[in-house]
Order: sequence, then C-alpha cells, then structure tokens
Amino acid sequence: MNNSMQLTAYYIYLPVVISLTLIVANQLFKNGKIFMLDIFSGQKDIALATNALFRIGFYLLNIGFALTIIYFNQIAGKADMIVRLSTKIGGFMIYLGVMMMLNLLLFMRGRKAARRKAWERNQFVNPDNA
Amino acid sequence: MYQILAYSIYCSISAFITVYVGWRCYIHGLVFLQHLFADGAISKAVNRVLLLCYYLVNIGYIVWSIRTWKQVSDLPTLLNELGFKIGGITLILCLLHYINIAMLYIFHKKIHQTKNQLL
Repeated sequence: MNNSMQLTAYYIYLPVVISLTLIVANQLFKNGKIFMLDIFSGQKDIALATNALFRIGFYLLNIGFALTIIYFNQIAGKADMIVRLSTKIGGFMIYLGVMMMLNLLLFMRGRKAARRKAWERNQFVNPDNA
Repeated sequence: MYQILAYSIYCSISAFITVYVGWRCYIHGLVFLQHLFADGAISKAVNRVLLLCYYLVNIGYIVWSIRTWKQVSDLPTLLNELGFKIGGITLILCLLHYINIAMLYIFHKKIHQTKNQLL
C-alpha cells in the first residue's frame, strides 16, 4: 500500500519538476538571446553559442537539484501525499524563481560591463567625443 | 474529504489572485522599465522574465504553504482556515507590491542623479 503511494508520488513529482525546468529555461533563454547579442556586440554566432551553453548549465543545475531532493519518506495516505508533494514542488518552484532572478542579474551585469567597455574604447579612439 | 476540497479551493483562488495581480503589473510596469533601460527590446525581455520569476516564487509559495494547514473536518473550520490563508497570501502580495514601488522610486532617482552628473 505505502509502497505504491510512494511510487505514485515519484510518478507525479518527476514529470512536473522536469517539465517545469524545461519550460522555465526555454522562456528565460528565449529572452536571454537579446542580452547575449548586446554583450557580444552583435556577433551572432558567438552570442547564440554562449546562450546554448548557459542553457545546458541551467538544465544540469536544476534537474540535478530536483533529483537530489527526491527522497520521500513513508506516505500515510492521499491527503498526506498531497501535502508532501506540494511541499516539494512548491519549494522547488521558489528555488527556480530565485535561480532565474540570479541568471537575469548575471545577464544585466554582463551587459553593463560590455557597454562600459565600448564607451571606454570610444573615448580612447576619439577623445574629443565625450 | 474536506481536506482535499480545502486544498483545491485554496490553490485555485490564490493562484487566480496571483496571476491577475501579476498580469496588471506586467502591463503597467513596462512603462517604468522603458524609462529605466531606454531601450524597447531589452525592457520587454526583462519584463517577461520578471513576470515568470514572480509567478514561480508566488505560486511556489502558495503550493508550499499547503503543509501549514491544520486538520479540517467540518465546514466552519474550512471557511475559517480558507479566509485566514487567502488573507495571508493577499497581505504578502501587498507587501511585495509596496516594496516594488519603493524600488522603482529608488532606481528612478539614481538614474536621474547619474544623468545629471554626466551633463
């Protein structure tokens, strides 16, 4: 009885978590492309390649984290299963949101640095043009 | 029986409130972001990512906080608990909203200061 409950919990938990990661990463890196183009000053191939690498890193990090917290104790019944599952999935969602925010911050910081560098280069080439 | 009913009502109402508030902020926040970034495409991208972050954190908190429910065995307890929990969620959203407005004000001021220094 308990064993089958546990299995059901795994069957619900894994698809939800993995599809959540995929959807979120898709959305994040669709919007991240524009940052990458800005950072690499319009070199499209390098920008897209970096974006893809970041995406793989994001998948690895989040699916890895989701798998490490998979452990379910003995589950008492249906209501208990809902509580356990929601605790786990909700915690994972909050973690994912924070991760995404950090990624966005990273992008914004990179863009700022690239813009400052471009500005300095511009100053160096023609100092009159302040 | 009441327990599962309570969970489903709680989740649907608070998720609806979260999504509605997020959508309003998404529409009206774009103007502020365009002020901050002075670039249309970037501000749209940031706005979309922020909306998704907001949904993840808030709906994640709603789903997570199911564990704090007490045992519900009759209708009055159900209504009491439901009101209390949804009120709590609404207060958290309100707090986040005011923090958000304060942040917008601070960023706006900072950008104006740097502009004045450059000129």
